[in-house]
Amino acid sequence: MSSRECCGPSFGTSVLEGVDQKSIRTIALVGPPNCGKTTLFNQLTGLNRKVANFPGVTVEHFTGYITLQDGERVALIDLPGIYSMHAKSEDERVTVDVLRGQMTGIEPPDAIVLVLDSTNLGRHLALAAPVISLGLPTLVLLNMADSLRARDGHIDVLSLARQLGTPVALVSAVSGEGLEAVDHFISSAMHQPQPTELPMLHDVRECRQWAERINVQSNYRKPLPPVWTRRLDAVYLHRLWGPLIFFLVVVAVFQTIFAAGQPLSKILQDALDYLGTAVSPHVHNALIRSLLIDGAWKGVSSVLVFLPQILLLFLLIGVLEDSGYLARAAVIADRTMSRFGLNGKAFIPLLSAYACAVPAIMATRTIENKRDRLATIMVAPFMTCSARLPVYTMVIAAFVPDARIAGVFFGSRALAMLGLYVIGFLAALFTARMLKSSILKSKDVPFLLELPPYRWPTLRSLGMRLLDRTKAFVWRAGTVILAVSLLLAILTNLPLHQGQPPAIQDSIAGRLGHSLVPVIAPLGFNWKIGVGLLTSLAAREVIVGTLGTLYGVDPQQHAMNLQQALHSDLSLGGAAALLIFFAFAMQCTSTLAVVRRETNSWKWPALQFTYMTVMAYGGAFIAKHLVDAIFR
Amino acid sequence: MIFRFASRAPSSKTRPPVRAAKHAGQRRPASGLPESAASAKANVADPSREIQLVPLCDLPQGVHAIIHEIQLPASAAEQVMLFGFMSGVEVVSGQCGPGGDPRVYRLDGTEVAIRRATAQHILVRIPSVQEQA
Repeated sequence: MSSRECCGPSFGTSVLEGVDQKSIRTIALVGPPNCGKTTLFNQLTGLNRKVANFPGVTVEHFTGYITLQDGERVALIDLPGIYSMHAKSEDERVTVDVLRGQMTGIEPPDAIVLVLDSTNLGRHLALAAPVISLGLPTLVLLNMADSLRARDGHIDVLSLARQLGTPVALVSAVSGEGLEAVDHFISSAMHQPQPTELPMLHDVRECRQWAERINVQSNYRKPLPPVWTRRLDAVYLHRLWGPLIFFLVVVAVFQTIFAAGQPLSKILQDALDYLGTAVSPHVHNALIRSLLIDGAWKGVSSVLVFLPQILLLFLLIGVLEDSGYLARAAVIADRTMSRFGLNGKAFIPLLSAYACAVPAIMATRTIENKRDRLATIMVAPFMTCSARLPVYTMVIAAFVPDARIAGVFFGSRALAMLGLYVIGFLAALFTARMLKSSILKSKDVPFLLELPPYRWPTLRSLGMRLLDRTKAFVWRAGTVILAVSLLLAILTNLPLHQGQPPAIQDSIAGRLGHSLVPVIAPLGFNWKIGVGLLTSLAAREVIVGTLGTLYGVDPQQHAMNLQQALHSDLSLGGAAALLIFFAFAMQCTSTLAVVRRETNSWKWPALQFTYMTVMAYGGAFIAKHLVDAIFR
Repeated sequence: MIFRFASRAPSSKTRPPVRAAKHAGQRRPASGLPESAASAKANVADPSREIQLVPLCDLPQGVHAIIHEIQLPASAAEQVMLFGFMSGVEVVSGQCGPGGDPRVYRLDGTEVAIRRATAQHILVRIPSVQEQA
């Protein structure tokens, strides 16, 4: 789930180019969910795949390359976590197929690195039986050695290695402790595992008893219970405090985005404006200056200024994900989800849809039941993704006065923003209910969620997330938004009349926008918003760039900032309609493409697009007339 | 300790009868707490009584029990077993979401949250005083 699927290219994978895939050996990283495979993968390859402290983050295979000390390059495949070799969900199937050499485009692995959580060997060691019996050379890594020691656990590594017939090492993927074992293993003469005994593989109970026997023979001493996790859970999962804290956490996230984001955004805006005015005198041709500075630069910079808000959102989500709190939030929200027919496993994908719907739809692979998975895919784009954030922020800052509600803590703008997030969430729940009681009925399947111990988020992981996000955001601004802004700037200057650009409403862009007016006038939108809606089909935040360009080119609004210009264009009702339209509409071609790929049919994305557009139009219409009636 | 594994589909759609359960005929309280807590304590205090089986979802918070039987269809049973829910395994009922569902159970050094709809098909017995000693 890197930025690749979401916005722009992947930045960590350029090292892969030019490597002849056939000539080098492949090593597969296997293990139960949330045992630290991807953390290990990142440590070994120097790449930056998404990690978080809950099961089911990695849902597809991903190859990286490492150079051993003797100079050999080997391919390392990161795989989704599995509990057994009987794949029930799509992500588990990926792992099983790769291990069995049945995945097209992936060479069968030459060796396996089996990662197990050393603090949870009672359960995790059972996976060693089916993996070892594949007969491939295997290295067993007991991860989280630091936690095992800190909580007074113990394991006799040599004895365990004897029983399993494989090399075994205690490691810590986070600190890098013991990871040289991987290098030693791959450069050594690898041989098939020779375990002293193996259980009947299809019998879960026998595998467990086998694991228990081996643990006893290896003097495994279970670590003490994580004291702080228990203490924190007593509060976070408390009947009364739990939901209250959950609510406060959500409110705090929005308040921070506004309170801290706005001033940072202002500084960035000043810097970008300064840059524009500094360059401006050096461009002598008036037409080119108008195209580049007033058109393209205004468009790109009006989107770039939202970088602080986006980064704050990702920082806060990162802290929640890495600490393990999200798994608790899943427990708190589960009852609501189940009432609306959503599978318990849908929570984590839906939550990641707050960042971007594309990885969220990929993450639904963890849901075993096909119909449940489809329902989750269908509702995921209703969750407020980060591309909506610039649009919301722009309109709210222009129309909602900054007032304090409930003391100093909570501002009216943050409340408006929270309201929009809630509306999106309610639309998702409502749609799920409709789907689950009509075309996607299914039986309940057991929902089990392992709660990981709380951990401190590492600066490295948080820093990597922000860096990744910044690159993706700047990339998008520098490509899609720049292209659209430049094109628009040109279209507002054509056709030329006697060598002079036309009045803006007579330009090609103006006429295009005007042709939309009959459809969008009932929502309170004028032709400029119409052009914005059209360009936002590429990606939602493009509308911000488009309006930036149009206002930059238009002499009447040239001197105003984006908010003032917007005010002159929209009534309060129109602003409400615009917000509701963006909350519901499916303006994202990448999401449609990924839905098409994951459902393997055009039917679902077509249904989704139609349904969401109808809902957006209807919702915006009602919002406009309601707000106009109230505030007249 | 007896390791009796029973993973069979329930014969009918109704909840299977609970052997010797004192409140088998009664309606389960919504939160599952006060009544079963009382009966659980009574059971521990009186070891001569026949073993009492309680659905896991009715196990009061903080009480230890031993999983006796899993009455789920084979595929669902396998799924809960992969998370450690197997007969003979000790389980402690922990915190829960609002309204008592889902609930977190501690077993094998890990914590797993499951919904009431699943937990009611896992029968546990509360060990007698001697066993606990």
